[in-house]
Amino acid sequence: MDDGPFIKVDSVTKRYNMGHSTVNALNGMDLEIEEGEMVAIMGPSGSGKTTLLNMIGGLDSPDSGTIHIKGMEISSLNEGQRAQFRKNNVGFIFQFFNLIPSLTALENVLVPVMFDKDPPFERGVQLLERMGLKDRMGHIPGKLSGGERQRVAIARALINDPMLILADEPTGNIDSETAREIVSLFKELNDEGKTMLLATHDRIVAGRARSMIKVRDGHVVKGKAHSRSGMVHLSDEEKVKKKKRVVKG
Amino acid sequence: MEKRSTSLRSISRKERASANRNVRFGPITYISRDVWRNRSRTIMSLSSIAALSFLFVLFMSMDQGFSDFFEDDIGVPSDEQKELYEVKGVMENWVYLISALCMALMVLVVANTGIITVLERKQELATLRAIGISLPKVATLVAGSLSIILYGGILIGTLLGMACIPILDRVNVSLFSDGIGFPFSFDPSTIVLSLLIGTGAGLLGSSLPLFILTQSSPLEVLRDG
Ligand SMILES: Nc1ncnc2c1ncn2[C@@H]1O[C@H](COP(=O)(O)OP(=O)(O)OP(=O)(O)O)[C@@H](O)[C@H]1O
Ligand SMILES: [Mg+2]
Repeated sequence: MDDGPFIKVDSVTKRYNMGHSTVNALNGMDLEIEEGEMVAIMGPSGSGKTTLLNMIGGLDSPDSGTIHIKGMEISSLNEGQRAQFRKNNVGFIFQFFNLIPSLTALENVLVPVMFDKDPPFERGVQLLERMGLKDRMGHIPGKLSGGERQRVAIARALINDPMLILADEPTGNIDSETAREIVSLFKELNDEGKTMLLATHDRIVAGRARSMIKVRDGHVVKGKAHSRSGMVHLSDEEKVKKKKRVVKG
Repeated sequence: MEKRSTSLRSISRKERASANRNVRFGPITYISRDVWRNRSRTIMSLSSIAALSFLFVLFMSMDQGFSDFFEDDIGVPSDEQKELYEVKGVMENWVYLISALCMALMVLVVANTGIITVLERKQELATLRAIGISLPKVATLVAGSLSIILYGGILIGTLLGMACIPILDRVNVSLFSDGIGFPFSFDPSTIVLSLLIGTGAGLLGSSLPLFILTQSSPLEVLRDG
């Protein structure tokens, strides 16, 4: 149907004005990601990981440069079109879960489809069952643990069966044991064909992705171990070795 | 690529049916949950609106009572009645003033409630937008909550007024020291007028909060909370 990569970020810049100074959050960012990838995005705080995910997810638009998802240029969409794009194509997972406190787990999962003519109620139930939250469907987020909340958020991200899942520090607010479970779940989703992008500081999380990019000062860092696009592929046997190299390099 | 997840644990048809019966989730549920969760704010705003529409109904019925009184009257007015005609004119001016005041105060209550809503729930509203609910639909949700407060308040205030008017008419509150009775009479058109005034106040009062909403970005979703 379309040639070219699934995600193509082409010389994207984004500046934020902070009073007198401006911050270059993205600085000539180039990136290509294939469909079905599971990419960890690493880099120091303030390097532009979140900004990058927001751009790819159509939450924000670049000052210059273009972003194509499946051949569609999303960087030039207006706010209404971007909302539509987000709803149909992107599943967002946030560090602070961002569940609606007054709604039950099941209702939270159904929020993205609440205005639909024929909302997929049953799918919401099934997704929560899959997340192991069968007994928690009627609980409000305040009565759920961090890991449970994040799993509700994952179910919500999946309700429209998006092709792309964007997770910004998905394990930033949960203990490492639960984080491991969440990452296993991500891997499972990736095996089912979802393209996953995870911004993370957690090396254990990043190490379980298929590939990894490093971001610094708003662009992708390219080292010896990196492919043309700056991506390091973490094949199972070389994972440990390469991870060391990337972390050092 | 697999379309739908197949690795779902199988559950019995009975279980699924019972789960389905409990799920009825749409904008109405969302709005009612919101109104209930913020019930202290809801009660405050709703009771203010109710008080204002009660006042409005009361004054309208005073005016109506006066009109009825003069309709019954035939013949050459006595001095006492002349005095009453003057009072009637003053009364009518008061009714217009009070209606305008009620409307202005209702605008204030709606605007106040709406602004608190969009500021306090900035992150929640941004989340809705981030996960793909369009701005007009999010605005509908906010307007829905405000409508419940507004029309709920008008309903309570009007019903309360309707209940009080026969009592007040019987007690015949005396305004003047010489003991001239003060008639009250409720006219059903007051309900329509209340609703019209309320709707006007709602439209005016919600415009600022909805404007604030349009100026905020779905990126607010990233602020922790
Ligand atoms: N809305 C904003 N207004 C002003 N500056 C911003 C805004 N969003 C991001 N920035 C700035 O842009 C730069 C990149 O931020 P970004 O959040 O993308 O970094 P990050 O890699 O996600 O960092 P962290 O690991 O701490 O989450 C930072 O210097 C940040 O201060
Ligand atoms: Mg970040």
